Amino acid sequence: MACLADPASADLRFVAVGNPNTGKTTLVNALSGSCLRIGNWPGTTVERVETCFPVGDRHACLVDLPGAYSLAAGTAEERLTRDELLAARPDAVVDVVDASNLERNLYLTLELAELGYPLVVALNLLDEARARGLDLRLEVLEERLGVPVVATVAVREQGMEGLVAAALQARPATLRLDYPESIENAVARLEPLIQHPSRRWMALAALSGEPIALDEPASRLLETLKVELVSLGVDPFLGIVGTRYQAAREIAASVQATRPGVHRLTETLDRWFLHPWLGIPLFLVGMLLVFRFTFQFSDPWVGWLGQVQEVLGGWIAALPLPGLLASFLADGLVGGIGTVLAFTPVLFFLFLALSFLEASGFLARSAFLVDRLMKAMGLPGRAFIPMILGFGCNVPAISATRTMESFSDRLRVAMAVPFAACSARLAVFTLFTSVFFPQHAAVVVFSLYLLGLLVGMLTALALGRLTPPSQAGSAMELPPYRIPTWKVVWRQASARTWSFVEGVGGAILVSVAAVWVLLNLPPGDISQSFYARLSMGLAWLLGPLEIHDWRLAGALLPGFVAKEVVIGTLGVSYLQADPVAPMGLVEGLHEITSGLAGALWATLQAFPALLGLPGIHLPPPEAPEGLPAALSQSMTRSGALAYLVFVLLYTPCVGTLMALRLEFGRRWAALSAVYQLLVAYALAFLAARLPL
Amino acid sequence: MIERLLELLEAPRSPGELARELGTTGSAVEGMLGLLESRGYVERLCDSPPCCGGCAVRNLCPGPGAVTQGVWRRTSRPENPS
Repeated sequence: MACLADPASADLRFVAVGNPNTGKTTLVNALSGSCLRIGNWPGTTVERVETCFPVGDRHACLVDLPGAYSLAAGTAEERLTRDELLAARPDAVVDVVDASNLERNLYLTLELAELGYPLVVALNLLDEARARGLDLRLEVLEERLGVPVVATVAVREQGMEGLVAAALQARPATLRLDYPESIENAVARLEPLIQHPSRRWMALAALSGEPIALDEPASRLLETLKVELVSLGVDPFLGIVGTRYQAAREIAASVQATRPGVHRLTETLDRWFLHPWLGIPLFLVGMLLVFRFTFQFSDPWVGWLGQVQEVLGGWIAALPLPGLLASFLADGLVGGIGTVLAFTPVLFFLFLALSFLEASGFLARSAFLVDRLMKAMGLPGRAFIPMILGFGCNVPAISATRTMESFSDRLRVAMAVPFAACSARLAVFTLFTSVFFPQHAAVVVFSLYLLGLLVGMLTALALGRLTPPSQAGSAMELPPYRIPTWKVVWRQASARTWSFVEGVGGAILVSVAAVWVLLNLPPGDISQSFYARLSMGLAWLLGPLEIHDWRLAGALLPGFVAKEVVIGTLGVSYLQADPVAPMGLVEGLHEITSGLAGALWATLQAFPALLGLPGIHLPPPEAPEGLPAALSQSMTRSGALAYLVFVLLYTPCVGTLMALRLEFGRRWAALSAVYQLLVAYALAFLAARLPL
Repeated sequence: MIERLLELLEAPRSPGELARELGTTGSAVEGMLGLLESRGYVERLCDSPPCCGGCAVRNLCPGPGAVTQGVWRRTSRPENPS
């Protein structure tokens, strides 16, 4: 099914609601053909997302709401879900229920039934429930709730047609819970004063102390009713919640039966991965394997794209173009943009590994292990979501701090997030480690990631001394282990990589072009250009970090626009001094095709190497050419390490600063920029003194 | 069931223990605890079992067995009708 461009043209409105981590977003994607972000942990959807698709000759819009355990507005996600549901009556509410966790999920289902809207239950993750030894009788559930129940396995797109058909036929639930008599009497008196299709649920919510907006007469009566209930010794909150949980338990018991002796994979694996002493070492080994996988599989493709870049430069040099234009195209555009794009395979393979870990549930375990560390620093468990998002891109990670209630917690996490090594920085790490630490690239990059995490956490800890931390939050739920489909993993990795490639066309293109212009003004010797003179001043400042070459120092300036520009700028400034040799069409094509065959063969060889004993040594590298060769002449290994530490930690990119300004104001954004610069300088100074 | 849970929480207990006592799932108990905590009926005492009180690394250790659970207790919420 194709996505519609214009949601306003939809004539059906469905709303997807469910507990966190029930596969709701996967189901929305399967229904609508959209590509919303999926994660195997609670809190992946933190905002209202709308996607549209055709249903026969009609157009439907499906709103994906954040996961909520109830409509009690205890968290920002629950408030958003409740407000959306109360704002307008949908044509159907699609309640996504985890079949393997029925009792807990039914609490929300019962509340949704009380809203009085057309309701359909998507009993998702049915395969997991069966694997856990649960037999479910859908017809009983349908009968007890009085709404259609459709079995779905969203990850395999099973049950989608039935779900759409049921949503079109959906009707309000026939189930009506019987609360204690005193509460029922109070509801009966309050309900007529509420003008809303969900008046029964609203009356119950108001009686249980939820902040519900009521008219003046209803508000006055509510206060009277509360006093009367207290005088009767009735706690309406406990009475209402207790009745719902009791009903959820009875319904679940009547629907499911457990087959004895079924092996529970999640519990067995968790004994190892969450073991008090083995958990952290296993997590570290796992992450090291991720980087080993990334480098082994991406290395041949980075090399091949480098060849393609050289060939393109050679073809441009062979064209009958004016010298300055040929230099701009070959050295500026191909040298700058091409150098950045050449690292796309590294990102793709890293995203592939991380998407697998995320969708399978392993990443949530690692987050849980780190969560302990966060709680030791007085941060809420939810802080793990922005911290992990930060490894992809710092900008959405800063926005994700909104899910935390306390301003102090949000600020501390937001100030820590820019230290997380985003994917843009990985391109710089890859280039330098391949030149200066070819045998230990995975270990060096892995250590940089850990350093960023450590500095971020220490920053949060230090800020906690200045601003009072909130009480650590509630229990953290761990999702079950799942075997993700390759389609989901591939789609997520592709979407994230494409997002990186798209970014190259905007600010990076402009930055690289600007650097080329400054390098050629005034025309002649580039070491006398405006760019070189500015960079030489910076190189003097970075001298104590063993960074003496003006081209290295200068690349850090446009890196402020986006960190991957560092690579593009290095490409322009180094390759400018060593113009590309002209190349013929046939010669170039031969080089590209032979390089492609070599890359394919090297990829095949990476499989047995990955399955071998966990050594971390990569094959001996070939002699570097082009930019790597130039870099190797420009600095020592200590200087290279200091450069990497500086790039990891220095002033965040302009997008991150804008996000900080938007969330916390100009003062905190400026403070973050200055603070990071100082931390980067201090730690890079220390790194430059390591005996390498 | 919710009243029974509050009775049980007169003494500190983990969700696992509560689930066994109530004959329900740990996940359902966590749901109930979450709602009750939001209204101040219950509180989490610590992330580790009480036996870890003297341990120097208790804040970093995932805890023996009851890794995600913590220990909970009923609060002395004055407006709670008992």
